[in-house]
Amino acid sequence: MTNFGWRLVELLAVQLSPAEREVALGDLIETRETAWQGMREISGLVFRRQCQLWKSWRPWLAAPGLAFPCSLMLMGFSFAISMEVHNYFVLGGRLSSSPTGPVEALPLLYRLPVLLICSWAAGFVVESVSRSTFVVTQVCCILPCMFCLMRFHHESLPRLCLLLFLFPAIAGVRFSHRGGSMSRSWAIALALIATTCMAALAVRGHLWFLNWELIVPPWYLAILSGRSVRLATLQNEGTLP
Amino acid sequence: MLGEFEYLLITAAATLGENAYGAAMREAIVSATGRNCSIGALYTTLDRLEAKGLVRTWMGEGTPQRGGRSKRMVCVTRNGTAAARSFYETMIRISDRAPWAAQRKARAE
Repeated sequence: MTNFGWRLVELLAVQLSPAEREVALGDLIETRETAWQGMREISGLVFRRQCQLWKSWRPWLAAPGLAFPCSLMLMGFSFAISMEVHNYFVLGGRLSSSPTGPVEALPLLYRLPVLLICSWAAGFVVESVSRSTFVVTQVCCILPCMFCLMRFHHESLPRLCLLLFLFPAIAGVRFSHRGGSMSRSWAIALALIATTCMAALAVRGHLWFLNWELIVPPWYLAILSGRSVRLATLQNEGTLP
Repeated sequence: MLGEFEYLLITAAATLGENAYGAAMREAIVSATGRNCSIGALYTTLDRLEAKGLVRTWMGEGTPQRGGRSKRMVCVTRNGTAAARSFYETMIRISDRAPWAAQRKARAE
Protein backbone atom coordinates (compact mmCIF):
# COMPACT_ATOMS: atom_id res chain seq x y z
CA MET A 1 0.00 0.00 0.00
CA THR A 2 1.50 3.36 -0.93
CA ASN A 3 1.99 6.00 1.73
CA PHE A 4 -0.50 8.31 0.05
CA GLY A 5 -3.09 5.54 -0.34
CA TRP A 6 -2.53 4.44 3.23
CA ARG A 7 -3.10 8.01 4.47
CA LEU A 8 -6.37 8.19 2.57
CA VAL A 9 -7.48 4.91 4.10
CA GLU A 10 -6.55 6.17 7.57
CA LEU A 11 -8.43 9.38 6.89
CA LEU A 12 -11.54 7.38 5.99
CA ALA A 13 -11.10 5.21 9.06
CA VAL A 14 -11.34 8.26 11.35
CA GLN A 15 -15.12 7.79 11.11
CA LEU A 16 -14.80 4.47 12.96
CA SER A 17 -14.44 4.00 16.70
CA PRO A 18 -10.76 3.82 17.78
CA ALA A 19 -10.93 0.08 18.58
CA GLU A 20 -12.62 -0.80 15.30
CA ARG A 21 -10.20 1.41 13.34
CA GLU A 22 -7.28 -0.44 14.89
CA VAL A 23 -8.73 -3.84 14.04
CA ALA A 24 -9.82 -2.99 10.50
CA LEU A 25 -6.52 -1.33 9.54
CA GLY A 26 -4.62 -4.24 11.07
CA ASP A 27 -6.65 -6.70 8.98
CA LEU A 28 -5.88 -4.71 5.82
CA ILE A 29 -2.15 -4.74 6.55
CA GLU A 30 -2.17 -8.44 7.37
CA THR A 31 -4.00 -9.45 4.20
CA ARG A 32 -1.79 -7.08 2.12
CA GLU A 33 -4.70 -5.31 0.48
CA THR A 34 -3.96 -2.61 -2.08
CA ALA A 35 -4.80 1.01 -1.29
CA TRP A 36 -7.86 0.84 -3.54
CA GLN A 37 -9.14 -2.34 -1.89
CA GLY A 38 -8.43 -0.84 1.51
CA MET A 39 -10.44 2.27 0.67
CA ARG A 40 -13.32 0.12 -0.58
CA GLU A 41 -13.30 -2.05 2.54
CA ILE A 42 -13.07 0.82 5.01
CA SER A 43 -15.66 2.93 3.21
CA GLY A 44 -17.98 -0.12 3.19
CA LEU A 45 -17.54 -0.54 6.94
CA VAL A 46 -18.03 3.21 7.57
CA PHE A 47 -21.18 3.17 5.43
CA ARG A 48 -22.63 0.19 7.32
CA ARG A 49 -21.82 1.80 10.67
CA GLN A 50 -23.42 5.07 9.59
CA CYS A 51 -26.52 3.20 8.40
CA GLN A 52 -26.75 1.52 11.79
CA LEU A 53 -26.53 4.90 13.53
CA TRP A 54 -29.35 6.28 11.40
CA LYS A 55 -31.73 3.61 12.70
CA SER A 56 -31.94 5.74 15.84
CA TRP A 57 -34.04 8.92 16.07
CA ARG A 58 -31.08 10.92 17.34
CA PRO A 59 -29.25 11.65 14.03
CA TRP A 60 -32.60 12.56 12.45
CA LEU A 61 -33.29 15.05 15.22
CA ALA A 62 -29.76 16.50 15.04
CA ALA A 63 -29.26 16.87 11.26
CA PRO A 64 -32.51 17.39 9.29
CA GLY A 65 -34.55 18.09 12.44
CA LEU A 66 -32.45 20.84 13.99
CA ALA A 67 -29.24 21.73 12.09
CA PHE A 68 -30.89 22.40 8.72
CA PRO A 69 -33.97 24.44 9.76
CA CYS A 70 -32.20 26.22 12.64
CA SER A 71 -29.41 27.34 10.28
CA LEU A 72 -31.94 28.88 7.92
CA MET A 73 -33.88 30.63 10.68
CA LEU A 74 -30.83 31.80 12.57
CA MET A 75 -29.45 33.27 9.36
CA GLY A 76 -32.68 35.26 9.19
CA PHE A 77 -32.11 36.46 12.75
CA SER A 78 -28.45 37.28 11.96
CA PHE A 79 -29.53 39.34 8.97
CA ALA A 80 -32.27 41.12 10.93
CA ILE A 81 -29.89 41.97 13.77
CA SER A 82 -27.24 43.20 11.32
CA MET A 83 -29.82 45.40 9.62
CA GLU A 84 -31.05 46.83 12.91
CA VAL A 85 -27.53 47.45 14.19
CA HIS A 86 -26.74 49.13 10.90
CA ASN A 87 -29.87 51.29 11.14
CA TYR A 88 -29.40 52.34 14.75
CA PHE A 89 -25.66 52.80 14.92
CA VAL A 90 -24.56 53.64 11.37
CA LEU A 91 -27.69 55.61 10.42
CA GLY A 92 -28.39 56.56 14.08
CA GLY A 93 -28.50 60.30 13.50
CA ARG A 94 -31.46 59.96 11.17
CA LEU A 95 -33.47 57.74 13.50
CA SER A 96 -32.80 59.68 16.70
CA SER A 97 -35.00 62.48 15.40
CA SER A 98 -37.88 60.04 14.93
CA PRO A 99 -40.34 59.84 17.82
CA THR A 100 -40.75 56.09 17.18
CA GLY A 101 -36.98 55.51 17.39
CA PRO A 102 -36.79 53.92 20.87
CA VAL A 103 -39.82 51.71 20.18
CA GLU A 104 -38.25 50.42 16.98
CA ALA A 105 -35.11 49.52 18.90
CA LEU A 106 -37.00 46.90 20.92
CA PRO A 107 -36.88 44.12 18.27
CA LEU A 108 -33.10 44.31 18.38
CA LEU A 109 -33.15 43.85 22.15
CA TYR A 110 -35.42 40.83 21.76
CA ARG A 111 -33.62 39.27 18.79
CA LEU A 112 -30.15 39.40 20.27
CA PRO A 113 -30.87 37.06 23.24
CA VAL A 114 -32.81 34.72 20.94
CA LEU A 115 -29.86 34.54 18.54
CA LEU A 116 -27.30 33.98 21.28
CA ILE A 117 -29.28 31.47 23.35
CA CYS A 118 -30.83 29.49 20.50
CA SER A 119 -27.59 29.29 18.48
CA TRP A 120 -25.58 28.18 21.50
CA ALA A 121 -28.23 25.67 22.58
CA ALA A 122 -28.62 24.33 19.02
CA GLY A 123 -24.84 23.82 18.75
CA PHE A 124 -24.80 22.08 22.11
CA VAL A 125 -27.80 19.87 21.37
CA VAL A 126 -26.83 18.74 17.84
CA GLU A 127 -23.37 17.78 19.05
CA SER A 128 -24.51 15.99 22.17
CA VAL A 129 -27.54 14.23 20.69
CA SER A 130 -25.62 12.49 17.92
CA ARG A 131 -21.86 12.92 18.07
CA SER A 132 -21.15 9.98 15.74
CA THR A 133 -23.07 11.55 12.87
CA PHE A 134 -21.77 15.06 13.46
CA VAL A 135 -20.22 15.25 9.97
CA VAL A 136 -23.68 14.91 8.39
CA THR A 137 -25.03 17.44 10.88
CA GLN A 138 -22.31 19.89 9.83
CA VAL A 139 -23.23 19.38 6.18
CA CYS A 140 -26.88 20.08 7.03
CA CYS A 141 -25.78 23.34 8.61
CA ILE A 142 -23.31 24.38 5.90
CA LEU A 143 -25.56 23.69 2.88
CA PRO A 144 -28.21 26.35 3.67
CA CYS A 145 -25.42 28.77 4.62
CA MET A 146 -23.71 28.31 1.25
CA PHE A 147 -27.01 28.62 -0.59
CA CYS A 148 -27.92 31.89 1.18
CA LEU A 149 -24.41 33.33 0.91
CA MET A 150 -24.44 32.82 -2.86
CA ARG A 151 -27.83 34.49 -3.25
CA PHE A 152 -27.29 37.32 -0.75
CA HIS A 153 -26.89 40.79 -2.22
CA HIS A 154 -27.19 43.89 -0.07
CA GLU A 155 -25.66 47.30 -0.68
CA SER A 156 -24.67 48.14 2.87
CA LEU A 157 -24.20 44.78 4.57
CA PRO A 158 -21.44 42.23 3.97
CA ARG A 159 -22.41 38.65 3.20
CA LEU A 160 -20.79 37.36 6.34
CA CYS A 161 -23.41 39.13 8.47
CA LEU A 162 -25.61 36.09 7.73
CA LEU A 163 -23.23 33.91 9.69
CA LEU A 164 -23.37 35.77 13.01
CA PHE A 165 -25.16 32.81 14.53
CA LEU A 166 -22.18 30.54 13.87
CA PHE A 167 -20.08 32.06 16.66
CA PRO A 168 -22.40 31.10 19.55
CA ALA A 169 -23.27 27.84 17.77
CA ILE A 170 -19.60 26.81 17.52
CA ALA A 171 -19.15 27.79 21.18
CA GLY A 172 -22.06 25.46 22.04
CA VAL A 173 -20.53 22.63 20.00
CA ARG A 174 -17.15 23.07 21.68
CA PHE A 175 -18.74 23.20 25.13
CA SER A 176 -20.55 19.93 24.46
CA HIS A 177 -17.46 18.33 22.90
CA ARG A 178 -15.44 19.05 26.04
CA GLY A 179 -18.07 17.26 28.10
CA GLY A 180 -19.59 20.39 29.59
CA SER A 181 -22.95 20.25 31.27
CA MET A 182 -25.33 22.88 32.58
CA SER A 183 -27.38 23.03 35.77
CA ARG A 184 -31.10 22.64 35.30
CA SER A 185 -31.88 26.06 36.76
CA TRP A 186 -29.56 27.80 34.26
CA ALA A 187 -30.96 25.79 31.36
CA ILE A 188 -34.55 26.63 32.34
CA ALA A 189 -33.65 30.31 32.81
CA LEU A 190 -32.11 30.47 29.31
CA ALA A 191 -35.10 28.68 27.77
CA LEU A 192 -37.49 31.08 29.51
CA ILE A 193 -35.55 34.15 28.33
CA ALA A 194 -35.52 32.86 24.73
CA THR A 195 -39.24 32.03 24.85
CA THR A 196 -40.17 35.40 26.36
CA CYS A 197 -38.17 37.31 23.77
CA MET A 198 -39.72 35.28 20.95
CA ALA A 199 -43.19 35.85 22.36
CA ALA A 200 -42.48 39.59 22.50
CA LEU A 201 -41.35 39.51 18.87
CA ALA A 202 -44.44 37.52 17.89
CA VAL A 203 -46.76 39.98 19.60
CA ARG A 204 -45.16 42.81 17.62
CA GLY A 205 -45.47 40.85 14.40
CA HIS A 206 -41.71 40.45 13.95
CA LEU A 207 -41.72 36.65 14.07
CA TRP A 208 -42.44 34.09 11.37
CA PHE A 209 -44.43 31.23 12.94
CA LEU A 210 -41.85 28.60 11.86
CA ASN A 211 -39.24 30.45 13.93
CA TRP A 212 -40.83 28.90 16.99
CA GLU A 213 -38.76 25.80 16.23
CA LEU A 214 -35.79 27.74 17.55
CA ILE A 215 -36.97 27.26 21.12
CA VAL A 216 -36.70 23.47 20.74
CA PRO A 217 -32.94 23.32 21.53
CA PRO A 218 -33.09 25.48 24.70
CA TRP A 219 -36.09 23.54 26.01
CA TYR A 220 -34.52 20.20 25.07
CA LEU A 221 -31.52 21.31 27.09
CA ALA A 222 -33.73 22.44 29.97
CA ILE A 223 -35.67 19.19 30.10
CA LEU A 224 -32.64 16.92 29.79
CA SER A 225 -30.15 19.23 31.47
CA GLY A 226 -27.21 18.14 33.56
CA ARG A 227 -26.22 14.53 33.89
CA SER A 228 -29.00 12.96 31.92
CA VAL A 229 -27.89 14.57 28.63
CA ARG A 230 -24.37 13.24 29.03
CA LEU A 231 -25.66 9.79 29.94
CA ALA A 232 -27.98 9.73 26.96
CA THR A 233 -25.07 10.68 24.68
CA LEU A 234 -22.79 8.03 26.07
CA GLN A 235 -25.48 5.36 25.84
CA ASN A 236 -26.21 6.35 22.26
CA GLU A 237 -22.57 5.90 21.32
CA GLY A 238 -22.27 2.56 23.07
CA THR A 239 -19.83 3.90 25.67
CA LEU A 240 -22.28 2.87 28.38
CA PRO A 241 -24.56 -0.20 28.38
CA MET B 1 -32.56 -19.59 13.08
CA LEU B 2 -29.20 -18.31 11.84
CA GLY B 3 -28.70 -16.64 8.51
CA GLU B 4 -26.32 -18.11 5.94
CA PHE B 5 -23.55 -15.60 6.59
CA GLU B 6 -23.97 -15.87 10.34
CA TYR B 7 -23.55 -19.63 10.04
CA LEU B 8 -20.40 -19.17 7.94
CA LEU B 9 -18.90 -16.86 10.56
CA ILE B 10 -19.68 -19.15 13.48
CA THR B 11 -18.34 -22.16 11.61
CA ALA B 12 -15.15 -20.33 10.61
CA ALA B 13 -14.62 -19.17 14.21
CA ALA B 14 -15.28 -22.66 15.61
CA THR B 15 -12.90 -24.23 13.06
CA LEU B 16 -10.10 -21.74 13.76
CA GLY B 17 -10.48 -22.18 17.52
CA GLU B 18 -8.03 -20.02 19.47
CA ASN B 19 -6.79 -18.41 16.26
CA ALA B 20 -10.20 -17.05 15.31
CA TYR B 21 -10.01 -13.34 14.53
CA GLY B 22 -11.25 -11.06 11.75
CA ALA B 23 -8.61 -11.51 9.04
CA ALA B 24 -8.26 -15.28 9.57
CA MET B 25 -12.03 -15.76 9.45
CA ARG B 26 -12.23 -13.71 6.25
CA GLU B 27 -9.62 -15.90 4.59
CA ALA B 28 -11.37 -19.07 5.74
CA ILE B 29 -14.71 -17.88 4.34
CA VAL B 30 -13.20 -16.70 1.04
CA SER B 31 -11.37 -19.99 0.52
CA ALA B 32 -14.47 -22.07 1.40
CA THR B 33 -17.04 -20.13 -0.58
CA GLY B 34 -14.95 -18.53 -3.34
CA ARG B 35 -16.82 -15.29 -2.65
CA ASN B 36 -15.52 -12.01 -1.32
CA CYS B 37 -16.15 -11.31 2.36
CA SER B 38 -15.98 -7.61 3.11
CA ILE B 39 -14.68 -6.23 6.39
CA GLY B 40 -17.94 -4.30 6.78
CA ALA B 41 -20.10 -7.42 6.49
CA LEU B 42 -17.78 -9.35 8.78
CA TYR B 43 -17.68 -6.91 11.68
CA THR B 44 -21.30 -5.78 11.56
CA THR B 45 -22.42 -9.43 11.54
CA LEU B 46 -20.02 -10.23 14.38
CA ASP B 47 -21.59 -7.38 16.38
CA ARG B 48 -25.04 -8.84 15.72
CA LEU B 49 -23.93 -12.32 16.75
CA GLU B 50 -22.33 -10.94 19.90
CA ALA B 51 -25.52 -9.04 20.75
CA LYS B 52 -27.43 -12.32 20.40
CA GLY B 53 -24.93 -14.02 22.72
CA LEU B 54 -23.74 -16.45 20.04
CA VAL B 55 -20.10 -15.32 20.02
CA ARG B 56 -17.83 -13.45 22.38
CA THR B 57 -15.17 -11.04 21.11
CA TRP B 58 -12.28 -9.22 22.72
CA MET B 59 -9.25 -7.24 21.65
CA GLY B 60 -6.15 -9.38 21.14
CA GLU B 61 -2.53 -8.39 20.85
CA GLY B 62 -0.98 -6.88 17.76
CA THR B 63 1.59 -8.71 15.63
CA PRO B 64 4.37 -7.39 13.35
CA GLN B 65 2.41 -8.70 10.31
CA ARG B 66 -0.38 -6.31 11.29
CA GLY B 67 1.89 -3.34 11.89
CA GLY B 68 1.43 -3.87 15.63
CA ARG B 69 -2.32 -3.31 15.43
CA SER B 70 -4.71 -5.30 17.61
CA LYS B 71 -6.87 -8.22 16.47
CA ARG B 72 -10.51 -8.76 17.33
CA MET B 73 -10.50 -12.27 18.69
CA VAL B 74 -13.67 -14.37 18.44
CA CYS B 75 -14.92 -17.30 20.50
CA VAL B 76 -18.15 -19.21 19.83
CA THR B 77 -20.36 -19.54 22.91
CA ARG B 78 -22.46 -22.57 23.87
CA ASN B 79 -25.54 -20.89 22.44
CA GLY B 80 -23.60 -20.18 19.24
CA THR B 81 -22.59 -23.84 18.94
CA ALA B 82 -26.17 -24.94 19.52
CA ALA B 83 -27.51 -22.48 16.95
CA ALA B 84 -24.92 -23.56 14.35
CA ARG B 85 -25.67 -27.25 15.00
CA SER B 86 -29.39 -26.61 14.64
CA PHE B 87 -28.79 -24.77 11.34
CA TYR B 88 -26.54 -27.57 10.04
CA GLU B 89 -28.99 -30.34 10.97
CA THR B 90 -31.86 -28.46 9.41
CA MET B 91 -29.88 -28.07 6.18
CA ILE B 92 -29.01 -31.77 6.18
CA ARG B 93 -32.64 -32.80 6.84
CA ILE B 94 -34.14 -30.54 4.21
CA SER B 95 -31.48 -31.47 1.64
CA ASP B 96 -31.87 -35.19 2.18
CA ARG B 97 -34.00 -35.87 -0.92
CA ALA B 98 -32.70 -33.05 -3.03
CA PRO B 99 -31.19 -34.23 -6.37
CA TRP B 100 -27.78 -32.73 -5.64
CA ALA B 101 -27.67 -34.45 -2.21
CA ALA B 102 -28.66 -37.79 -3.82
CA GLN B 103 -25.86 -37.43 -6.35
CA ARG B 104 -23.40 -36.74 -3.56
CA LYS B 105 -24.62 -39.81 -1.64
CA ALA B 106 -24.26 -41.96 -4.71
CA ARG B 107 -20.71 -40.73 -5.28
CA ALA B 108 -19.86 -41.44 -1.65
CA GLU B 109 -21.22 -44.99 -1.89
